Amino acid sequence: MTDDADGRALAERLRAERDERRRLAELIHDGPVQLVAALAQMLDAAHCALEAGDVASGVPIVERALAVAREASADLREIVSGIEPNALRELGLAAAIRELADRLATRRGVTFQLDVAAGDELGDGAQSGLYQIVRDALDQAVRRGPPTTVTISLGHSDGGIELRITDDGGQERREAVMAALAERAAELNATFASETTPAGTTVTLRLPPSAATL
Amino acid sequence: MAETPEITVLLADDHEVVREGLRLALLRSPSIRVVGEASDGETAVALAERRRPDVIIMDLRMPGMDGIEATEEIIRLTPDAKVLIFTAYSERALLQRGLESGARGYILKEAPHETLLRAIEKVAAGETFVDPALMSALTKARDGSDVLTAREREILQLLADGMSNADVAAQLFISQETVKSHVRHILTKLEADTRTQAVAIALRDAMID
Repeated sequence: MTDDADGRALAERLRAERDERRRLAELIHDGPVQLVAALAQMLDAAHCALEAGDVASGVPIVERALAVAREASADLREIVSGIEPNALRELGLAAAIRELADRLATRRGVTFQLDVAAGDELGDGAQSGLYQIVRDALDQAVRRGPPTTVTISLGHSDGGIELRITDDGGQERREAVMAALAERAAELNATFASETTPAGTTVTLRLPPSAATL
Repeated sequence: MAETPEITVLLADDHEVVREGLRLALLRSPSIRVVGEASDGETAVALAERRRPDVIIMDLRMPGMDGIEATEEIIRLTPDAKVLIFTAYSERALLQRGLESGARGYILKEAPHETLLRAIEKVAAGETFVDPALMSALTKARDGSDVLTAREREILQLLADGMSNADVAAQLFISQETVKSHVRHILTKLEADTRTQAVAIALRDAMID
C-alpha cells in the first residue's frame, strides 16, 4: 500500500470511529437520558401528591413512572446490545443478525426474510464490520420508513461474500447515513452501492476474498 | 394570606415523555398553569407569540429550529418574553450560548422540584436563574483548576441555592459586609473570564440586596 492509501485508510477509520461515538451519544441522549429526566419529574409529582395525602392522584403517577423506568431500562439494554451484541461474539454474525431482526420485528412490526448463514464463514473483523453496517442500515430504514418487509442475504460471489439488504420503505434515506455506510464498507475493502426508488431501498456490499478472512 | 399571582407557562420539548413529566410536576403547583405545548422550535415561536405565556420552558435540542434559535426568534418578536432553558446538557458552552440567546434561566431536566419552581418564579419575575448544580462546572478555569477559593465557592453555592446575603452571613457566622466583600471578589474573578459571565449575571442580584 502507498503512503497515500495508508493515510486515506487511517482518515476513514478515524472518521468512522467519530461517527460511531456521535451515534452512541445521540442514542443515549435521545432515549434513556430523556426518559430518566422525565421519570425524575414524575416521581417529584408523585412525591408532592403523596406528601399532601392525595393518594388518588399519586398512585397513577407512580404507575406511569414505573412504565417509564422500564422503558428506560429496555432502551439501555438495546443500546448496550447494539454496541457489541453477545450473540456476535459467541455465536457469530448469522445469529447476531437474526437476533437484531427479531428485536425489530417485535418492536417495530417489520417482517424479515433472512438468508445469512454464510456470515459465519467470515473472519471476526469482517463479521463485526458487517454487523455494524447491517445495524445502521436497518436503523435508517426503520427511522425513515418504516418498511413492512426487509430481506437480508449473505451469499457467495466471485470467491468473496455479497451482503444485500432490501426493504420496501419508500422514503429517501439520509445522505449522511448512507455516506457513513459507504465509509464503513471502504474500511472493510468492500464495494458499496445503494439505490432508493419509490418501491424501497437496496444496499449491496461486496467483500473481496482477501477481506472475508479479516 | 395573599393570593399568589398565576404564572402561565409554555412547554417546548420534542420528547413527549419529558413534556408529560413536566406537566405532571407543574400540575402540583396551584400557581402555575400550562397554556401550551410545542414539539419543535417553530411551533414554540408561534405559540409564544399567540398565547404570550409568562414563561417559556425551552429544550435546547429539537429537530428543525432548535431551542437557541427559537429563543432568539421569540425575543426578537417579543423582547420582554421570558425563556427558561430546560435541558439535559450541562456543558458550559451551551449554558453560555443559551443565556446569550436571550434566555433568562437555565436548568437541567433532572432539577429537583423546588429548583424547577424557583427557576420559573425567578424568571417570571424578570430575574436570572442558573441551576445550582451547574455552578461548580462554571467556576473551573480552562485548565480545570478552580478559579475560586474554597470559601468563595461555598458562598457562591449558597447564593445560587437562593440564600440572601443575610442568610449566608448567618449560616457562616460572618458579617454581611464580609459576604459582600467575598461576592465582589468572586465577580472580579469570574468577569475576568467571559465564559463564566453567566454566573456573574446571576450574582449581580446578590450584590444589590
